[in-house]
This record gives sequence, structure tokens and C-alpha cells, in this order.
Amino acid sequence: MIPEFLGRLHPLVLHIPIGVYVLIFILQYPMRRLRDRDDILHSVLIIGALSAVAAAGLGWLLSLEGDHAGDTLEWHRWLGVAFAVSSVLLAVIHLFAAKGKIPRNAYHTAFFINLTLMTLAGHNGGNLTHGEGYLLPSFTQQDVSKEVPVDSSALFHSIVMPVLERKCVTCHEAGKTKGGLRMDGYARLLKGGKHGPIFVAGDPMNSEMIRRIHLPIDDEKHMPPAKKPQLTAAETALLHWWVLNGASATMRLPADAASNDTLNPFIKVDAAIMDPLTVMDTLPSVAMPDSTVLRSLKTAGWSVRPIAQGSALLDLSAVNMSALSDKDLDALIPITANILWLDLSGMPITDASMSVVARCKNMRRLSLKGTRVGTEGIRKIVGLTSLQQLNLVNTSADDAVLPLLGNLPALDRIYAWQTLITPSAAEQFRQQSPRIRLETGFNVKP
Amino acid sequence: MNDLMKMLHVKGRRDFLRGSVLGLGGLALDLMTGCKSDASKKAVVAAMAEEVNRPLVNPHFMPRAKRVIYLFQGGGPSQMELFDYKPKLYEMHGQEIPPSVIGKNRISGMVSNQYSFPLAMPSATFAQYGANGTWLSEHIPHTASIIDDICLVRSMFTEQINHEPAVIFTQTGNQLSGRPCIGSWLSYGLGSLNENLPSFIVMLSKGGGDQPISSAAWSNGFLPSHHQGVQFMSTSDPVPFLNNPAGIDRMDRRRALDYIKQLDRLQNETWHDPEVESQINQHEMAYRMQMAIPSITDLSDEPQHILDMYGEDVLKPGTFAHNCIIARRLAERDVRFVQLYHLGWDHHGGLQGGIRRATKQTDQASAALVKDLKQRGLLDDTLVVWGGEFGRTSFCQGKLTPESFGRDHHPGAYSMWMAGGGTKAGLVYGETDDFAHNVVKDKVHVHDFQATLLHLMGIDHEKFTYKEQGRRYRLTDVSGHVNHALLA
Repeated sequence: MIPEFLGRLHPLVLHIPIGVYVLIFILQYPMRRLRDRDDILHSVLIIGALSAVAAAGLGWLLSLEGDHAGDTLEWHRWLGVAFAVSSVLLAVIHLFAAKGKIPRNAYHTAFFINLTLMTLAGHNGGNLTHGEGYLLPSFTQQDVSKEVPVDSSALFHSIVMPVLERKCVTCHEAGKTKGGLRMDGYARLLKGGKHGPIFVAGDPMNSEMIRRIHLPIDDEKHMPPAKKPQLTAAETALLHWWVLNGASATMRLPADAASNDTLNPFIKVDAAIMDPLTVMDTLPSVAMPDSTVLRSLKTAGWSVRPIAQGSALLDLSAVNMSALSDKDLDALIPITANILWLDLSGMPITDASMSVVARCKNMRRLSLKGTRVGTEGIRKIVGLTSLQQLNLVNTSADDAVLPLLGNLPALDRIYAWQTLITPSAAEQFRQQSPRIRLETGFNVKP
Repeated sequence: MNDLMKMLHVKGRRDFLRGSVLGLGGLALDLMTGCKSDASKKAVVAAMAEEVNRPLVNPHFMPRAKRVIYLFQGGGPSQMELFDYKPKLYEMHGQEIPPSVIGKNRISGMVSNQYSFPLAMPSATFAQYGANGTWLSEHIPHTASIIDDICLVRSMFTEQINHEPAVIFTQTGNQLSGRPCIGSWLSYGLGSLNENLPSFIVMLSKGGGDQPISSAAWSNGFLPSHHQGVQFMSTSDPVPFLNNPAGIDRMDRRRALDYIKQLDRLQNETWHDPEVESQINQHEMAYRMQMAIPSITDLSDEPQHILDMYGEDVLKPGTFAHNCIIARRLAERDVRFVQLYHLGWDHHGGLQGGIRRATKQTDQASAALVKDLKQRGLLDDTLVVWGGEFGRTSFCQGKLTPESFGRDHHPGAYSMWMAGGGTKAGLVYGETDDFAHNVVKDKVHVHDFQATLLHLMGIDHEKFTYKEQGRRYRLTDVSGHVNHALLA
């Protein structure tokens, strides 16, 4: 309690010796007012020495609180002690010089040494409180940027640093250097905190920073502290990955970053690579289907599933139904816009049912496998501009359907095994519409 | 039963602890929140009692595959005799494998008394197939014929060197039995598409090898037990006792089941045991399967040219070929996950004959399955996986003679292939060194494969968890990355 209180007087007391020695300097050299006043000088030097010793002692107490750590603190600590010692010595040397026992110049030399020590200790103390580079901001920033070339693809600057800035730097920067650690810049990260370096490049398991962020949130040492905004799982993984891969400031984004699960959340992803996820974005946006309609469809035996969690688009299948008439398909009319995939395989439906199917403007996959739908039915669905896959296996589709399908803009696959389509018509279609893959089966034996 | 027994069984220890904590907590809450509104009190209590384990029901994002057929090749198929052409092995036949190649890799106890590790040249000739001129072995001409439809991965590696842990690792993501396997995870997570058939069916081939396989490989682990793989018997009657006995008709069955169900429910009011729910589920499933299974196993509607595709064994129940055509029929009926196990790839000796036998049993039917799915338009959303639990060493186990040699287990590098379901057709991925011993490019860990499989099913493997004994588990445990290079 009392040592703590005294320690906190350090910032106040430390200004006394500074004032004293600066005053002596001014009176002694520019003003030359102390030449024959050794008695006054003696008193002032003793005041200076006492205040310097007091400042150093209080500073030592303050350092026990442990808010600061690192090289700067150690420099400040020992320069402060040296300054206190030299202040006492200076007073003694002056005493001897005044008595003529040693040359006067010895006193002047000692005075300048003392002044230098005071300046250095003070400068380090300032850095400790206000942060390195506080004195010459523009100058030091240039320093940092020299060390870490800023490049849009430099991984540290484009991905890692923003995470630190969001979640760490508010407590680990100039002015609030918790644990003696500053994280506002690569050089400072490297330096570490009062317990030393915070990471070992390539070895996350032995890196204090990585250990701390993985501790349970109720652990006292967990970082960021429980009440502060927490790192997301992706951010935690990123920091781990970065340390594991060398914790370099200059490392560039790897070429396969998009397919790297750790880096992926932090970069803009090429749509082609992240297909199933981005396809979600390119899906048509439609209103949520009416839940009473869905319920009645399920009761009727339809398998009704959203294409993904929260999606309004449906994967509709008759797999669990034993019979379905053309009329039954009318039940789909209220939700035709929601149907993305429709599987009617094996149902005894005919060409007439295709007028409902033709309304499914957003539909991408349609299976009519094993139905009684023929060429006339297909004629009705040529307006399905989103259709990508059409399964006609085991239907009575004939050569006449191929010209109808060739113009469907999105179509890329037709399954036409076991149909009336002749090999020559199929071959002709493949040449005319190379964009569409027509599968007629591996085994064409009757 | 006396009251004490009841007390012991009604609730487990954890339930008791949880109950008391909630009870006491509730009391305390009542005191603390005395002045708060009823609604806010209820919200707090509800938040405390929130159920953590909930199936996904629907995928996280749009899936590429709706079903999986996993053709598991137990024993460890030799990559050098099948998929991974290494000309250097022919040149260096009989010479010692360089120590730098072996490095610090594990070798199994079976070769620990061996002082010499001579390289053995593959007992196969290779030729180029497909649009990319992929080198494949003479043993797998049918697989070679579909090389442009499959995605061949030559850079698989695993962590286990013995069969059981390696199989369990591939199937459950952990080498110890007790975790749910891939099929159970999918059955639990996404549920069944066809309500008359189990969502996860397992079939074992007969006549493979002597290496046993344990049912832990299709275990539900800690997931509700109706998600375990339903094993079809390798006989003409794959689901035993499916037919009603004489004098019992379907209505009698229904009535009996309804009464049993009532009894079960009554019991469950006392026991609160999820196993009772599973039992009710299983009874209902069995009842529905009475109708559905005969239509699956009756191959009389298959035309001869289709049967010919799968090979001469196709009509013999329990053969790999038979299981393949059944798997196709199950996929047609939207069964979520069909797992085949073929054993007989464990060639510690007599490899020349062994590899010939194993490929003869599996090559034609595996390729036929892919072709058949493709022509039916099912390959787009059905993922076919072909692979074992590890690979084999390029050096010889036992004595290297011109007539016979063997290869030991090798976890460091092996090959597998996938087809359909959103994988990149015609891709040959990854590279091993000149001795097929170490992966030198594009490594794929078992967890990466599992993460990719779930991704194809529309599932983010990191978000698909089940909390058990205080910890959340996932198929890929704490690792695994989706390999986007393998996706179409």
C-alpha cells in the first residue's frame, strides 16, 4: 500500500533533480553567476543529489508494480540508479574541488557526465510512459516502414496487423502498455513484454501470445481479457497459422490462400474456387415458401428440404411416394418459384403434368427418369431458362426433343440413356451443341 | 423393482448433477430476479437449459453430393501395383531402399527383424490411359477405362500403421474405437432421404482376405444408436427375418408393433433412456424395410447387359460385384450413405497372386458402378470413394524371390480415388517420391479427405459438432482442411 503510493510519486519527484541541474547549468555557464559562490552551489548540489536519490528510489518502487517491462524499463532503471549515484559523487567532487584538493575541471567533467546520465534516464522514462517514437514520431515511423515493406499482398500488413489492431492494440500501445507489451507494429511485437518475447517463430506451442489466446475465457491469463472484445475462431486460427509459418513481416500471401481454410476468411475469394459457397450468392432470391403449403406437401408424401439452412429454395423429391398423378402436381403451384431441384423419378406422370413443371422458372435440376413424359411434355418446358440438368433416362423421349433442348440457355447436361433417341441424332446434337453434354450410356446393347 | 433401483436408474450421475445445479440455480435465480418480469426470468432459465446437440437437418450450404457410396478396400492396397507408377523401382529392383528415403518414418513390427530392405519392382506393367495419359496398372483395366471420370489422389497419408486403428481412423477420424463413423455423422446430421430405408447401410464382401474388420468401423459412437450402419448380410437374404412367418400377415405385425410401442413409451416415462427411442425407431424402420428391401435385392429387373457390366460374380450374394449393384440400387432410392467393405488387400507375401485376385474381384464392378451411376444421371450428386486405410512399402517384406514377395503396411503415402459428387473428374492430384514412400507434393491427410467429403455434402466440418462428456467432437477432430483443388 505505502510502497505503491510512494512509487506513484516518482513521476512528480523525478522533475526536481531535472529542475535543479538545469538551473545549475544555466546559472553556471550562460549566466556565470556561480563562480565564487561555492557555498550556494554546495547546498544546491546536495538538494540535487537528495532529489535524484529520492526519484530513483521511488522509481524502483514503481517498477515493482509491474505495469511495464522490457528493455526500455531496464535501461531506465539502471540509468536512473547511475544518475542518483553520480549526483552524490558530484556533490562530493565539488566539495573537494572547492577546497582546492582536486582541479576544478574534474568538477565540470563530472557535472556534464551527470547531466548526460540524467538526459538518458529521462529519455528512457519518457519512452516508457509515452511510447517509443513519441518524441520524434515521423522519424520512427519511417524506421518501421523500412523494416516492413508495406505491400498489399504482404500477409502481416494486410491480414494479421488489422486483427491485432482490432483486438489487441488498444491495451498494448503507447500510453497503455499493459504487461510492458506493445503490439502496434512488427518491431514492437518482436520485442515482447515484461516476460520477454511473446512468440517463437515457427513454434506456436511455445509462444506465449498463442498460448494466452487459447486459454479458456475464464482463465485470468486469457487474452484478450474477458471483458474486452474477443478474437473470433478464425482470427485465433490466423494468429496461430502466422506464428507457425514463421511469424514473418515480409511473407507474402501464398498462392493457394483462397483454398487455405485459415487465410480464406480474411481475403477476397475468387468466385471460381469457392464454388458451392458462392453459388449460394448467385442463387435467385425468392420469398420464403408458405409453411402451410410445405406441410401439406409433406403430408402428401413429398420429400421437401431447403437446399441449405435458411434458404428459401427447395429440393423436392417424390422418392417416398408410390404414386403421383398429373393432377397431384397442381399442389406445387404455390411454390414453383422456390423449386431448385425437382426429382419426379419413377412417377407415372404424363406430358400433361409438364405445364406445372414449366412454371418452375428457377429450377436447375429436373429428373423425369422413368416417367411417362415424352417429347410433347418436353416441348412445354423449353421456357425453363435456369435449367442446368435434365434427366430423361428411361422415358419415351425421341430425336425430336434434342432440337428443343439445344436452345435452353443454362442447360449443360442431358441424360438420355434408354430413350428413343437414336445414336445418329445424338451425334448430330453433340456437334451442334458442344456446350451441352449428352449422356447416352456406356452400354447401348439392346 | 424396489425404489432404490429406480433411483439408481432413472437418471445418470450427470443428469443428477445437472438437475441439482439447475434446481439450485433456479431457486437462486428466483431470489435474485424476484423483482424482474416473468418473461426475463424464463429467458434466463431457458438459456441455461439450452440443448447443445441438435442435428443439422439441412446442410450449411448448397451441397454438391446428396449421397455417398464408399468402396472401402481393407488391408491396404499397394499403390505401386495400381495407381502410382514408379519406373525407378524396376531399375533398382533388389537394391536396398536408400536410408534417406525411409528417414524417420515408422516401419511396422512385422519387418523389425529384417536387416535388409530391398526394393521390389511392381508386379505389374503400366500404360497410359485417358485424356491426360495417366499411368495405370494392367491389373485395373476397367478403372483405367473411367480414368477421365475419376479424381485420383496419389498423395494420401495417414497416422496409423496397423489395420484396425487405421481403418477406424479413416472412418471415424480417431484411431480408437468409440467415435461415430462418417456414415453415422451424415445420418445424424442430414437424416434420411428415403424414409423406408436406413440412411446408412453397410455391406461386407465375402471371399476377400483373412483380415477381420470390426463393427466399430460403422459404429454410431456417442450419436443416437439408430444412426449406426445397418449391416446387410452377405447372403441371398441380406436382412434376416424380414419375411413374416406363416400365419402372420402385415396387419398382425402392425398391431403387434403398435402394442410394443405403447409398452416402450410407458417404460420410457420411467427410464428416459434415448436407447428406448432408438429401439422404437428401429422397429418402425424394420417394418418399412419389410416392403422396401425385397425390391432392392431382387435383381430380376436388371437387364443382362447391365449385369454383364459388373462382371460374372454379380449374381452371387456377398461378392463385391453383387454389393456394387445393390449399392447402385440403394443410391437410386436415395439412401444417404452406402459403405462397402472389401477385404483382401493385405499382401505381406505372395503379392503377385494376391493383387491379381483382389483386382479381379473389385476392378470391374467398381468401374461399372461409376459408369452405371453416370448413365443414370446419378453421378452428379453421388460421391463414390475407393480406397483403403494405408498403402504399402516399396521395399520387400520377407524374402525377395522372382516368384514371390510381399509388401508391408505403409502409412506415409497411398492412393485413393473419388468419382462424382462434385469432385474434379480426370484430375490426378499429388505426387510421391521415386519410391512411392513419401509424399512430395500436395499432401492430403485423412482429416483433409474427411473435411472435403463433408464439404461436398454441404457441411462445414468445423461447425458440425456433437457435445459428449463435456467436450464437442467432430469427425475431423481438431484438424482437417477442405481441399478445394479436388472440387470441380
